[in-house]
Amino acid sequence: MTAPRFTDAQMRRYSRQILLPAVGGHGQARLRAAEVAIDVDGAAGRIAALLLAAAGVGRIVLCGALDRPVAEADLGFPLDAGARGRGLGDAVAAQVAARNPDVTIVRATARPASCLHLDDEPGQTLADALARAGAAATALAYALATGTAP
Amino acid sequence: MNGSRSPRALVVGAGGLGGPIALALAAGGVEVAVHDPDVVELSNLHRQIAFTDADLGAAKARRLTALIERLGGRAVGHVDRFDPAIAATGAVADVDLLVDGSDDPATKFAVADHAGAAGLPYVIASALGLGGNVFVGGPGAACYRCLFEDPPAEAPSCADAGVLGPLVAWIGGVAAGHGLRLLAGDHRDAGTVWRLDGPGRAPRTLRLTRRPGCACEARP
Repeated sequence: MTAPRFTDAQMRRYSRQILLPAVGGHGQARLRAAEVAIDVDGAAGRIAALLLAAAGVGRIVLCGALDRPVAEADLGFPLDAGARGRGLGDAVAAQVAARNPDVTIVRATARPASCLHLDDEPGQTLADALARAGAAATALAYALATGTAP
Repeated sequence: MNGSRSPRALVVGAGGLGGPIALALAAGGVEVAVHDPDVVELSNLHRQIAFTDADLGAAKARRLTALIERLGGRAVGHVDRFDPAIAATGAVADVDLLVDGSDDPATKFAVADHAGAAGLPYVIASALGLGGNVFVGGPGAACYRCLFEDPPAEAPSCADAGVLGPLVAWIGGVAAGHGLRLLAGDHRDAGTVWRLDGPGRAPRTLRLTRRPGCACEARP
């Protein structure tokens, strides 16, 4: 199998994952070749998009009501007051892009069947959203890196 | 907790665990003091989503607290390590909760010991490789030393053993949730450890009893 190639900057960025025996360079290359569609209407979905982009998933497809303006209820990590009134898709895409310049961000024109949807629950705190997004993104990143994703 | 003011927490570490912990506590109305001596490095960014490439080279504690303030929260950043001697006095003495998200075992023990001696609830979060744990402490419950006794002579770090990026948000979120419940006066989880052994395995919560001979036996 040909060894995957990364730039020096990519090697530093992903070094802590490449160190993992379950991931390695080939797992990191599988993440880079992967595409994940995520519904970013809710806080947990937005955080999951950031996590997967940061981890090196190569292509993030944003799903949901991307053209609606960011509402007061959307404000909170990662959307600060500067996002108020912007289109949700634009605001989230900017946050995802800031986490990893390697990632390609696509706005879905139709909802893909594979779109990852994380329901926000009533009374959900940011702690809850981080835990739910982290759990989902951990499972997905591991499955993609190890080639066990469906 | 002082009823006339917002709850206050001291968070040790502003990285993969401390970042989400501080963000989530602040979003819950907690005033946060963050201690971290490090600057943002490229090797942090696969997991530390509080930061971006624009933060490279900057002090983590300052960038994290600036982000918290942009999001409407209240935070103070200290570019230093947790020092129990300083924590017992001055501006950081008046806190209601301590949370550790550092990557240093000795610091975790120092935070737990300081909280135990001060009679404060605390949370100690750890992540490495594909797993991690969250210890919840509080007065009257089993303490961190009841579980781990003493810091290990040598312990691997993320720089040695690696860590799957999204994992730290999961563990940080769990730790922050425990912190918020402790601050709300719910101490039912004090003396428990939440443990994740890897992706695909369900996390487990274990309730601990005080270890005979542990220093915490002398405390109420």
